[in-house]
Amino acid sequence: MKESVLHFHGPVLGIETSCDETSAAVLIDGRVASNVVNSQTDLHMKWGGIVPEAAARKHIENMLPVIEEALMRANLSLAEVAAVAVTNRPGLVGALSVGLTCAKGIAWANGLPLIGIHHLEAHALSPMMGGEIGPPYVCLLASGGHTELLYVRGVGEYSVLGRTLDDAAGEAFDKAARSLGLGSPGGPAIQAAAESGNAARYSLPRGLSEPTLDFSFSGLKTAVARTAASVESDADVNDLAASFQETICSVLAERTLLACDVVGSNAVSVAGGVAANISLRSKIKSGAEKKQLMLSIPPIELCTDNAAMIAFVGSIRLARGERSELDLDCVADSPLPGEVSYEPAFE
Amino acid sequence: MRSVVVSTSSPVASVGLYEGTVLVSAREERAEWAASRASLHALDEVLEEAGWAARDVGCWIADIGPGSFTGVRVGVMLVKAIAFALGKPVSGLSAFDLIGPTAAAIPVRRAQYLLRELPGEEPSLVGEDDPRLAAASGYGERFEEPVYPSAARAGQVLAKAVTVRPEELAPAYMLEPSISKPKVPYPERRT
Repeated sequence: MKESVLHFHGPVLGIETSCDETSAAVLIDGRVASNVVNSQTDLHMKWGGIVPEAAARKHIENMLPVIEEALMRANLSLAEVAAVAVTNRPGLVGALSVGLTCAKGIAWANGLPLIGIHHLEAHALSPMMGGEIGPPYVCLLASGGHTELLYVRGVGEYSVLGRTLDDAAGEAFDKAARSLGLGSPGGPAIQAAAESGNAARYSLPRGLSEPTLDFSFSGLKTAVARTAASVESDADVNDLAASFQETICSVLAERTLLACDVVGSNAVSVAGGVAANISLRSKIKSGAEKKQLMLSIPPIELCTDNAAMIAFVGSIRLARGERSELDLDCVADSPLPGEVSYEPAFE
Repeated sequence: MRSVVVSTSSPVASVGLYEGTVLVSAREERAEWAASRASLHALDEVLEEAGWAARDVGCWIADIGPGSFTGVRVGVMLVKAIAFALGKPVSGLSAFDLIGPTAAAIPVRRAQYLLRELPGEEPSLVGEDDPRLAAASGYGERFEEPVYPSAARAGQVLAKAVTVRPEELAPAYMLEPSISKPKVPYPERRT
């Protein structure tokens, strides 16, 4: 049954700086009035990965202009903002501290309520933003730093059905792209190369013995690296990229759909940066249709890191009367609020 | 004009309220990893003590470093955000000036210091055994009696503070972050 959620009455400013995106958004009565994302992808590309200190330096440069842009697009002044929601966990501490300090400063100066938001909870609830589904639903949360299968039973009620035992899915994309000389970030690079590749050419390992709801991508990553050492042409590269994408997306989609069977969910979603992958979206969509499941996949701009999802969860929690103190800290690693583990039983 | 100075570039966070160049009230607290918390609590206290509202403050001033990269950023971001919310200008002061109008040294990396010998001079990077440090004030392992940057020492340099819009204020790290170069150059995105 779809749970209706109450939203905070009044515009909520959302701020997100957990990794390499500086983002601000305005949510009014549960509706996204603006969502501005300034990506640092080009800055970090030369290092082949995100450099935390460089990310934090860029955040402080971008933060206020991004907020100004978000307010302008929402046709709002800062004086009209009624509350501030900010990512305070998990993430790169130096990066988080820029957004959190900014949020605290604004909240303190204008006497506004402040709410700290768990970044992964925001991803997990982002499928609700379109209004198509509500809890309970199964959510595949796949990004550069996390890969988890969640049963979202309600806001703040999460059963962890499975998770990666080694690399996150997005990390596997990045490393495979690096092995193939495709550049960074890996997700879009692999997807572009795979468009003209033959996905059936290379047989690659799927990781753990099935059935399982956990993931392991280190063997797949190593197999791609070994195979990549012997490819000779661009066509070979495209075929290997396509085979990698087919393997990882099949594993992700099949286990997500299996999770729906295990918990008896009739609704499914996928969130996080890897959910921007067209092959994964397509596999989940066709699987959901076959099983007659309700499906919600956020638009791509709400799959990658963004402040709209932070404002969304902030608005829900503020409406419940929750507030954070101004001594709120940022935390590098943190379980989901209300997280419980779940031991799946397979028939 | 009323102004507020916030310094969080070192392990000691401090705030100071000024009427012109006269210090009205100040607080300081050892606050590693809790600079924004300490600064906001201190601001509440000193503003109440002075009977001022945040809106009465005409300019918000940050210690822009050098010092702890994260500490500098917290102070600068806090001042930028408060001033942005209140529609007020901001300014930045060097952490050297907040140590004093003398030779001033700030620890920056293992066994290294940024030393500014005279106000207005460019600082230089020196080792912990550099004899010029003996005549300097500052903090770090080299100093038995540390002198941390303090918002309460801003009076002498407030007159020369240049105001800018909050969006324009930036930290003065004075050092690039330590980034190890990839063993194999990272490939450019194939087009």
